[in-house]
Amino acid sequence: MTSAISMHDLVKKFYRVTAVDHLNLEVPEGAIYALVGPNGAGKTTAIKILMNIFPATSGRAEVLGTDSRHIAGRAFRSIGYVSENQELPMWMRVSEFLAYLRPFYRTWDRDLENGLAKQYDLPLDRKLGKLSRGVRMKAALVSLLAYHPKLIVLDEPFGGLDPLIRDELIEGLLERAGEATMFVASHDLAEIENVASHVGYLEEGRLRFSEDMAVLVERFREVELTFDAPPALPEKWPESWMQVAASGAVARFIESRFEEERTRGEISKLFGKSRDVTFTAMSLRSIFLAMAKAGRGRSA
Amino acid sequence: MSNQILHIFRKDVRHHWPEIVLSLAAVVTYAWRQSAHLAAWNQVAPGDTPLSQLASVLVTVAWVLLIVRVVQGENLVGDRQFWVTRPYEWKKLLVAKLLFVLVFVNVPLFILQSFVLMAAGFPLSSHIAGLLWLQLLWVIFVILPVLTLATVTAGIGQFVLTVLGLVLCIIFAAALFGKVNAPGVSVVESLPSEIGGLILLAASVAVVLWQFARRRAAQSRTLLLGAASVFPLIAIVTPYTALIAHKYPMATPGQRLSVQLAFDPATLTSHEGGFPEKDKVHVLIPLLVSGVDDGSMVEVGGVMESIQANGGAQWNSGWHGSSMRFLANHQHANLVITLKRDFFERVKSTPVNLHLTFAMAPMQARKTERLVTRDDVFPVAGEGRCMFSPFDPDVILCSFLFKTPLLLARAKSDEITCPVRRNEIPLPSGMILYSSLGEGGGLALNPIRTNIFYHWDLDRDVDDVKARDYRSRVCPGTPLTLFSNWEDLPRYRTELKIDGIRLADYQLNDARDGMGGFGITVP
Repeated sequence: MTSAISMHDLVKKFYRVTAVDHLNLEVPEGAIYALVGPNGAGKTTAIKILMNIFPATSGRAEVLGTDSRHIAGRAFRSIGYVSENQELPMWMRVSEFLAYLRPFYRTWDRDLENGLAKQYDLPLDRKLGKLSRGVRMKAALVSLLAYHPKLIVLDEPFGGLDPLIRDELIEGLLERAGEATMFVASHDLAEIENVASHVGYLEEGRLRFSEDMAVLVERFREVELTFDAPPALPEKWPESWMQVAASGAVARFIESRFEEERTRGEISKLFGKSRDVTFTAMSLRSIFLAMAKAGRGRSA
Repeated sequence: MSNQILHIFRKDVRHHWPEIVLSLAAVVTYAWRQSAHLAAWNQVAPGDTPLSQLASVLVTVAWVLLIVRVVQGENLVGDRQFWVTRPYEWKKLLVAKLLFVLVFVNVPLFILQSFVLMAAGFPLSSHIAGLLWLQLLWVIFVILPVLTLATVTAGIGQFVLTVLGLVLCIIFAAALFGKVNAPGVSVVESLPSEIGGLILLAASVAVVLWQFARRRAAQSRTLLLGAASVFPLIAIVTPYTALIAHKYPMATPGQRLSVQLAFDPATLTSHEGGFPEKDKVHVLIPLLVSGVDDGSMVEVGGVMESIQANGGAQWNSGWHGSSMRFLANHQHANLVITLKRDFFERVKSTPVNLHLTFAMAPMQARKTERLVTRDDVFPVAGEGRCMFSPFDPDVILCSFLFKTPLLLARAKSDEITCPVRRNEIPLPSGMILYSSLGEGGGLALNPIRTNIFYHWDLDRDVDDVKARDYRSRVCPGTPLTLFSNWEDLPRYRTELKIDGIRLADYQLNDARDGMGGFGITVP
């Protein structure tokens, strides 16, 4: 499978601060890839390197088979990029903005533009500067989707938007999912949880993991063990176990490499016989919280 | 996209129409005032009226604003602009911006200057090249610098702050330059600014291209700062003494000099005319002048004075600029030397040896015309026009296209047609009067340059009374000989040694009315 985006040992430093630290990442074609991580993790920096908004300090990246340093001009006919902080021409009316961008793209679909404008109920005669943030984001998204880009890159597109608008925008994106690869950076797990096919977790400029969403969700479980008496916690436990704790006769931990038979075997070996063992699937939010806590524990 | 350039241009016109209208209104205002001014003065108008001056400032400010706003419409600084991830082709974007400047700055400038030129009575068709030359000056000295700064600043506020900062730096650099031993010797003194200017011009072009192509603001700013810092560096490292020696080679023994200078020991009286300066004394050295051919003049590009006294005391002024000029029939000149007071006090009463070195720049007029001044407009030097000012009959106003030529006018006392005023003394017969217009031109909104003949120097002393009581002026009907189209002749250095001079005998006392200084003065 070819990659729509690939990053090889990408580094970006701003004076003494390393914003992106030897990032290696592949986004398969057709995927909806969510790059998540806390504020300041380096997500926006990585995206701006991909879009050739500024250069990397070292390493390289490729976008749709082109070195990111050469992404310019006509290359953007196949790429759609929207960021929450993007400066739009506030003096333009929505209709003017769309009409202005139209001639830049050979694949601009006028019917799609009109359909999306209607779907999002865009106020075409109002200036972009007079719109609320959410409606302005809708206008930006229409201007991006109307020309059927092969790659859609979104940087915190839904931050601060009310749930209704957010759902509208996500719905609009999902309708295009079949024809484009999407790369979405976000710190809001809820907005991408039901959307992304792949996820990568960036923390302090480093990629902690990157994998298929289904595989990720499948390998994490909250494990609860019930005993007849308060158990003694083992001195050592497998590396894949996180947040091991006991409270009364109940012991809990998070298993990050869940395979039922193997996990049961390790439990039995370390804890002995238990009255009950339950395995509960975790939300993406819970998974990342657990990983974040584990990360802080490592750095401490 | 088939025509991205025009598409961006049209968008810019829609966006910036208020600034366009403002700038065009300022242009129309200036053109209207200038044409009215020219009509009122019979086409020989003394420069701009206050309203025209205000309009010209408005025009320039409006154009600067327009250029900055249109360039920053697609801001080249920062990383949040929506357009950087749209299919803009940087060359087409640059051409679109240049097209905008061409249409709304260069074309109105051309039309404005053509209009003023025709209102002043000059035919347009034969002066297109001159107008295009002015366009080039505007591009180099206004449009390109503004364009360059607009590409490295994020908004109009940052642009204004940058300009203010640059002005402060220039003031500081000029003060620093004055402390560097950079002589004000003509031809040589301009070298640092000429070289620095070329470097800055090249850097500006490079920055504009680089910013549009790559948007690396930090690197671009560094390049500009580096180019600007070349000015003081060049000023410091330039070998001025060697350059002066090269540009003004020492006259050879058999060389025919364009002027002969000698010390005039007869003039020994104490003079007034020094302006009081703390710790400094002015000494006036009278000179005899001869040998300047008719139709020629000798400008002194620079002077160096050195004094050697008994007992080993020495002083050297180093090379410095001079405004002295020698004309045919001139017989006297004065050189004012400024000394430190403590050195003067040490040597003033003992004979010293004075060594003067002059850097001479002789010139020969290639055109001599004889004309009779008139009550109304009379032509001079090709396309120049002159007339006596209706407000001051002693002043002759002259208009020229694009630049004022160097003009020397000569009159004879016997031919002056002015009636003698009360308390005025007619000049003795056979005296020669000279007046000149300095060469000038360059960047301005108004393509017409005006200058005036108002001060007439006498070729020699007059007896007993001060020169200002004499009728040293011309009137309608006075014949003049005009020398123009000056050709530079080979420059040279010459020396004059004055041994055994007592400086106290030539000290300039502080003037009662604060007048005095360098240059030719008529005692």
